[in-house]
Amino acid sequence: MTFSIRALPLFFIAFTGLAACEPAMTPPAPMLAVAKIDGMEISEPRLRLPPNGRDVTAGYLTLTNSSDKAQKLVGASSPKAERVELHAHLKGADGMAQMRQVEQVEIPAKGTAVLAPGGLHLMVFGIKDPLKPGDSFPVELTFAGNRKVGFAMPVVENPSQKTEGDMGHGGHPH
Amino acid sequence: MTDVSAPIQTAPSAPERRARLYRMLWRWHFYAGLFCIPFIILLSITGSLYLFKPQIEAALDRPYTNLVMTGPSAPVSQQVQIALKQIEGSSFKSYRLPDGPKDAAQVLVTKGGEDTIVYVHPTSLEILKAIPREERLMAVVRTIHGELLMGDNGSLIVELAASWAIVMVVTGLYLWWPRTAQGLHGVLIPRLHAGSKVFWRDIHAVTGMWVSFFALFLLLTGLPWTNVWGKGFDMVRDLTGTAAVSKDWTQSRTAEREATEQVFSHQGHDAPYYVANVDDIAASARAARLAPPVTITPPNGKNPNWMARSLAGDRISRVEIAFSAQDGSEVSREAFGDKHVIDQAVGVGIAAHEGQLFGPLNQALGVLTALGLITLSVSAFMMWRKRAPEGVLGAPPPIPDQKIGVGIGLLIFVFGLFLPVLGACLILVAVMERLILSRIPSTRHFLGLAQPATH
Ligand SMILES: [Cu+2]
Repeated sequence: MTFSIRALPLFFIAFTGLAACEPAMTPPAPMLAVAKIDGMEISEPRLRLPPNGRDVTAGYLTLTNSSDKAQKLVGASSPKAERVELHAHLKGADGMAQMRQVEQVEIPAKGTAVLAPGGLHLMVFGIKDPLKPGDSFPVELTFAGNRKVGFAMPVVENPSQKTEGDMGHGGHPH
Repeated sequence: MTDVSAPIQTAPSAPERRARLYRMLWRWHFYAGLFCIPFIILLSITGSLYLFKPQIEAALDRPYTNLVMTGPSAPVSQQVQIALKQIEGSSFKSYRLPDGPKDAAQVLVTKGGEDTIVYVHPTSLEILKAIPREERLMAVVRTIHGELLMGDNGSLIVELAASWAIVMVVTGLYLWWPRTAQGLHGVLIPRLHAGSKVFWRDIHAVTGMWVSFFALFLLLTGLPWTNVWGKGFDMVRDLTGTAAVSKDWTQSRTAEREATEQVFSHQGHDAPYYVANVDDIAASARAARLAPPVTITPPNGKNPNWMARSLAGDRISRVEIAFSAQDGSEVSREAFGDKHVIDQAVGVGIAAHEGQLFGPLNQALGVLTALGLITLSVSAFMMWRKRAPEGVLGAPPPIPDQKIGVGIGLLIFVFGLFLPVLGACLILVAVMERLILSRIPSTRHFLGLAQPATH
């Protein structure tokens, strides 16, 4: 067809032009790091708002190790708390989840450690000043070899929990 | 159009039977084309655009990538809260993990069954853009392609046109199958300089030869989205116990809206710090390194777990992970290979239909098929106008006694059963023709119908 043959280069240009606008092909990248130490990036730090009247809560974050050797997180501290421990959630013999203090958290070479509920976390005890969502909470992590790195953890709210009685709110057909 | 009759008393000779069949299929091809051509052109154009959805959306979203960062990124939960405030009274439906660390977060919030995408700056928490999901360019293109902007009625028309288009491809192949051709000219290579009649005939027949297979593929892989065929397909799967637990295509936006409205409800009191929130699921989903785009959805009336889903266009690299709503631990993981074999087949078909199965070559094949379909439509129109006498439609003349063999009758029956919308249309047309159109001499003459048999 004559008109389409003449238009062919045009189509080709349009096609390659569009193909050049490539969408992302790799998995979503980690969030911007808040601190770095020896090829290790700390991202997504957050401290959960302590429950009413308590001075205890948990902090979570992601450690991305892009170096060729494993790294070890061995401790944490904060000027705004009495102490910060490394904790893990473990299923006890009775099937109930229990928290245990752990000596260290290993981040494998080219690997990631996600500190999140149900697993590893920073347990913060004796928070000195009352906190509210949006506050910054300073923390310092210690890695094997007494290497330290500090950053701020934003305070976030706890999730709203669904209860049985709330199920009707959305206008479910019963 | 034709009569499916019991065995004929005086059996016609084989060549006569063939000539009769040819004439009959020609008439089918003609009337089907008359109805289909406008839709084929519309679907070809919108389809060609939709093939480039990932590229077009990447270009449209470019202003919201590589932003200037003004400090550390805000936690995902704060990004979601800002988005919820933007649409008063909305609920959180999903969060798309930004592809890069400097890209805006895309939070999907829902209110009254309508979804809005809110783009949030990751550090300043500014709202960069809020757009109803169905108003995005590619969503509009998709709605034209799937339902002509007319909801379920449009979807039915598209399904009808697609069903007739399948008939057209099949009858076309029969009509132009090279039985007597010598060499490739007029079959795979058009004769461009042998007069205008040969020119348009060859453009039609040769293009048809080249694109029939691909066109048929696009038409068949489009069926799972349709209202009647698609729902029938789901029903057959329910009955045969081969149903998918969760399928990733829906038939219409109406169905989608209803599903959303029922599922996302309000929430109660605060949970303790060891209960997972959106920050935790986002962190776990990011660490899982799923193929982009990746979205996370909160627990809802339909699904008690948090979900992280890869919505990769090729469907093969899609993975979905369920996280416990209690402690955020991984509950289950389903990859493409874990799906039912029927879902895998439909998924591959859909990915190829969308031009996303094997990169730019897949998109190029889609565009060429669409161009081929437009060429077929234009050349068909030209041939028709050149042949059609004044004052009538110019349909091929009917077969004198309107009788066809049992085999063909059965074939029509099977087609009508496989494509129910086509079947219903055939019955309607047959009744209309018999009762009305053929009985009015002027319309009968114009449409080229046979005189009703007098008993
Ligand atoms: Cu603990």
